Amino acid sequence: MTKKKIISDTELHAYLDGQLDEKQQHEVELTLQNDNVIAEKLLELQKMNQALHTEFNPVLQEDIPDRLLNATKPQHNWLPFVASVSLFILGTLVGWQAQVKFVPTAQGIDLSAMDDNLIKPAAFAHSIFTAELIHPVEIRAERHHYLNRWLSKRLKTQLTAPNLSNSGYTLIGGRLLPSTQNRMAAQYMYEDQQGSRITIYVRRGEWQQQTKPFEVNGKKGYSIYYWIDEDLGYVLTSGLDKNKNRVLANEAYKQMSLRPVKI
Amino acid sequence: MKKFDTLLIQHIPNLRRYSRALTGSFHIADDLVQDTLERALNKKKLWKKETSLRLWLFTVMHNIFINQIRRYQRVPQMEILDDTISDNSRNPESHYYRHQLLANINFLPNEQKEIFLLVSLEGFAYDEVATILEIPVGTVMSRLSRAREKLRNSIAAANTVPLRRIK
Repeated sequence: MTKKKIISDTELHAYLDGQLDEKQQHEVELTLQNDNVIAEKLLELQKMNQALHTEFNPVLQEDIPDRLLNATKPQHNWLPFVASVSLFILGTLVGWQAQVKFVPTAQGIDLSAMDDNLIKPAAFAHSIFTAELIHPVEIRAERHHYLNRWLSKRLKTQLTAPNLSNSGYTLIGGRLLPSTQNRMAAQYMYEDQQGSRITIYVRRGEWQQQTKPFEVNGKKGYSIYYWIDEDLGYVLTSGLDKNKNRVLANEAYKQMSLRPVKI
Repeated sequence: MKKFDTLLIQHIPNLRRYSRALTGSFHIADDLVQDTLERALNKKKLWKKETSLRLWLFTVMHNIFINQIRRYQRVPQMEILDDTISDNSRNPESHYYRHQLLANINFLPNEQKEIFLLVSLEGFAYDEVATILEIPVGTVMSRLSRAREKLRNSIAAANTVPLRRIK
């Protein structure tokens, strides 16, 4: 007759996790042959592990987002500072409408490229889609989880539509758009109770900086703020006066790009 | 010797997988990974070359996670991440089972959740988990067993349909 040894949960788990030496392993195996309850339990634990791997192993195959790749490289802290200061000065002095040909600055930031590839497409997309009464968005806000996930996947970053309800704006939805330089862009659209609409436009670009929201002079009564978070550019466009728009831009910036101070 | 950033990059997929499971959120998980990488880069002198970089990185991540627990836990419900994108589970039962498992993992206390995921998902040995979390191996084992029993029981309870015989 085989001596039936009682094995504890801890031992069974250690067996499952390959933490036992040969002798202990053998003992557990003997028990498993004779004890259906324990064998059943082991099966359940294995099923649990299996499900966990089925769920999360696909993460291993995902493309690594640029922001994580960048986080592994030492940053030169003065660069974004110089960049944002020079941008601020140029942006304030010249404005978007002035059509001045910018040359790439010493820091490698091409402002006219930013204008052509970020701000103009954003303003254009704003004017096209906010005018649509029936189809302003592709995915409506009721499916905002799906919308965020979809746009995140296509832009290869974590996008979440900010909550602007404190300023009286609710999300209508969003869409994916083609942009310049063979890139894609995401557009979120919001509306207040009077039906005034604002959009947030996000895309990747060749810029590498960190800025706060800056105002650019829009045409035809548009108010435009943009900011850069590493290689992501954001543009908030509205028909509001610029003080109201600044509040919205700062709120969106805070939720979308500002990370808490590192410990 | 390889450059430190090249070494770091090799570990990103695993850090992301663990973080995704731990925070239960697609969106917040990469923030945690990014903070971990930045901190690792800043503190790379603290990494002792004789310990594995993987172990050290998970230690760094654990410390950031518990220090900023509120920030990383603002998502109340774990999402099933692949339901729209790559639903490879033709079997609705297994999909349902995973859904329940994830929901229940989310309810585990953090100290049990971390251990459960480090062992079951990342395949760390008990003594490695003890190093990462700076607790005795015995504590690792008892918490692990508590976590698994809790998961097993709550899934079993959810699946017990009370049978009523119609007379």
